[in-house]
Amino acid sequence: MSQIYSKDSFDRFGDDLCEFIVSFLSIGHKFRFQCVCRQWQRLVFNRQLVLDIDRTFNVKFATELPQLKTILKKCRHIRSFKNSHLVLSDSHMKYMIRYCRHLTDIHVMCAATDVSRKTIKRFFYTFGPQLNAITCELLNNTNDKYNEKALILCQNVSTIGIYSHHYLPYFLRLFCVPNMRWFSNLKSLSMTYRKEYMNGFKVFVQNYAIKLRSFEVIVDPTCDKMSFNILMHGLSQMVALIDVKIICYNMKKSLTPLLPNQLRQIGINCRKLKSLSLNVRLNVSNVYEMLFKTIGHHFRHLKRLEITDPTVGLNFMTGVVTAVDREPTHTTQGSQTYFKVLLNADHKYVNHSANISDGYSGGPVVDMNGHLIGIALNAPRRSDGTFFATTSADIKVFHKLRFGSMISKTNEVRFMTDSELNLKVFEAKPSLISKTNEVRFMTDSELNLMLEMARNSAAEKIAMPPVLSPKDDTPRVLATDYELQGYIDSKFLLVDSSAGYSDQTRLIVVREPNGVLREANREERYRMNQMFFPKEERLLEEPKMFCEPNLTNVLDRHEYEFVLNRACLQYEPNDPKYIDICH
Amino acid sequence: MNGEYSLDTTEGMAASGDPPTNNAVDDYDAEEALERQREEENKIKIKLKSFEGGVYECGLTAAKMSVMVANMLDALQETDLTKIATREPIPLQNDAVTNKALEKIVEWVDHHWDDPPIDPDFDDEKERRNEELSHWDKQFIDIADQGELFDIIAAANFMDIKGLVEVGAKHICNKIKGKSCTEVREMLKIHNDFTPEEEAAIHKENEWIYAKD
Repeated sequence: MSQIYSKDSFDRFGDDLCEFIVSFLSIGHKFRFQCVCRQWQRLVFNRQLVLDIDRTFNVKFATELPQLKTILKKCRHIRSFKNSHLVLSDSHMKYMIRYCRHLTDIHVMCAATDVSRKTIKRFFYTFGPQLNAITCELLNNTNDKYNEKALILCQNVSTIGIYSHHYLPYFLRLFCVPNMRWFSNLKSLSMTYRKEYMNGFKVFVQNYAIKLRSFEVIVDPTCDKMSFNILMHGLSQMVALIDVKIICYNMKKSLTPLLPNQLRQIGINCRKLKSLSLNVRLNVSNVYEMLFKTIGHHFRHLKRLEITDPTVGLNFMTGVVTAVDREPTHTTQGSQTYFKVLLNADHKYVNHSANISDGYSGGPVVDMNGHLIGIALNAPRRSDGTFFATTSADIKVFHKLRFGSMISKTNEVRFMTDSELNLKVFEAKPSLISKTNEVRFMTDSELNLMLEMARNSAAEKIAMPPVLSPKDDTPRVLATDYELQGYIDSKFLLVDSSAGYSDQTRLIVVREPNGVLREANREERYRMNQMFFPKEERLLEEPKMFCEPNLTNVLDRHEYEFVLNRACLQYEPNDPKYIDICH
Repeated sequence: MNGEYSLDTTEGMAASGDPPTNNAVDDYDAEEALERQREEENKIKIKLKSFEGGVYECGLTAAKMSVMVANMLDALQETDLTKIATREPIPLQNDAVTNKALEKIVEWVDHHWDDPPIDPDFDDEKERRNEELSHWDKQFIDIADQGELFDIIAAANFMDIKGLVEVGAKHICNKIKGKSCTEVREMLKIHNDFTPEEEAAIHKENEWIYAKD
């Protein structure tokens, strides 16, 4: 292109770069910005590879989404379709078949019952061979043979998620043909495990175990010792596993003591394991010592570990320290929030990559040797909240502060004056700017420093403000030019509107009709200032409340603060009226 | 360790041809060694020359964040890395690489060269698209002069530093969020090449998106 674009024009970017930049817009903005220019219209949807219905639209189990057609029509490069709340109807499926030729990942949690068999058939014939990942409830409930046929078409999938009990049997039947691997690329599986799948699972392990890299299992409460053993044994044979997640609520009590030993087996065999997540209700807390010992011994190369047990209130997880001594960052990685920790010694922040969420704040962050290195802080967006954590030497202070006093900004004056300055404060003033409470943990020296600062600010706040004497209101006459008399019949007010003068010092002069040139008096000055440099909420007319008898009325009602605030706003501090009201 | 399998797995083993490996320990050490090497290498300073002729010094590992620079260094086939430091400055022949832009780019790679490497095994690390910019990046990229900002993005794109282009892209997208098309055109100085009829047609087609907010 021969045309030279100016440096600060977006037009200078070529198609590739432009496409990359606009790809970061949300899908709603993409539609909106289509009409910016032809280049944008052409490129804006090119990199929309993921369509996440739940994130884009706030749908809650709706069946209708008229926009879906438009979106699918525009975003032709979609690879991944995610949806857990929208109930897909027959026409939705047809649109997908028609427009999304590149679809490789489907994550659909609910499909309407009215989807015709023909549509499902077409769906699987179109997408089956190209599918990579399928978490899907699209199958028809009634016809077994038919469902199997549909699934066989998806033989290239590497990720399968099955959560519903209705569909698992179809998969299991396919999984469990001895010495036959329908899904030869299967790398990742999420499933529910029930007692009756026991035998099927054995065969599945034989067929697929070695290639599986990720396995997530929800253990049904009905599982007994035998079936649980088979599950865990199967897991220990998946030697290529990188990511394991075991969820078992309400496990039978007799099973819990087995867990550490079974985990040991997994730890010994699965050497590539990087992430282990246990979400269990063991009901027996003394198993934990064994559990942690086992994990410590046999899972040395874990990068992520997460153990949750609601019954004993345990939430434990690991992460990698991503940065030390940088500003606190709020980095969200998907649903992942980083630990933000401030070490008190050198005011260092430690950014941590553990997957913490609300409710973890205040929990300890421990290093590999068990030393407390900080306190977890899950800062809200755009908060520049400071947070102090202590090193292990100061744990004493930490305990005291954690369970003791919280110093909030709004109460600071009161808190400090009551105990430290022995001065009386009548009322804590509500702050208009809502400030989140800050809780800080600090060493003695820092505490002293903070107390000193608070004392100073308190002293400043309750100090008597300076008083000005009333301003003389007889204006100075600058010149008397009687020759001008008779030419005009009203006053001229001349205001110097140049910047840099306050309302008090600004030059305002008046030419009277009789030719006298003088400085403006208080009222004129006030009116001019309010007209050209208006102060918000200050009224041009004198408010009624300052006229008698209203003023006496208000004062009788003891609304001193209101009157004072209003007067401060309305009058200059050296206005005789102000002094009159305030004394 | 094969003794611990009680089920017969020979069938699967033979099919995959990928016997269980015991090298996780080595992997771990290798990772640490690599990190140390990166650190050592970053002490070697190389010189980069902007289009306008300014020469800036930059750590080797940091400079290698630019795929283009890394390729150029590879092409030199220099085995003794310390010699690279004494070489002529590497010229960056693109008019976007101004002195100012290169200075900022060097600042960015210097801050980010020791970022932990992305682990491809975790899905959420592979895709950082949805991640918000860090505080440092936000301050870094908040440049009043749009020409300079665009220079940096174009230069980073030319030097193939994906992370920095992404930072720039996210910054721009954040700025135009919630604006109208006209405002965006004004702000980014985009020439409107639609006829009014065409624009009205697009508007009509997308009415639903405006109705939402």
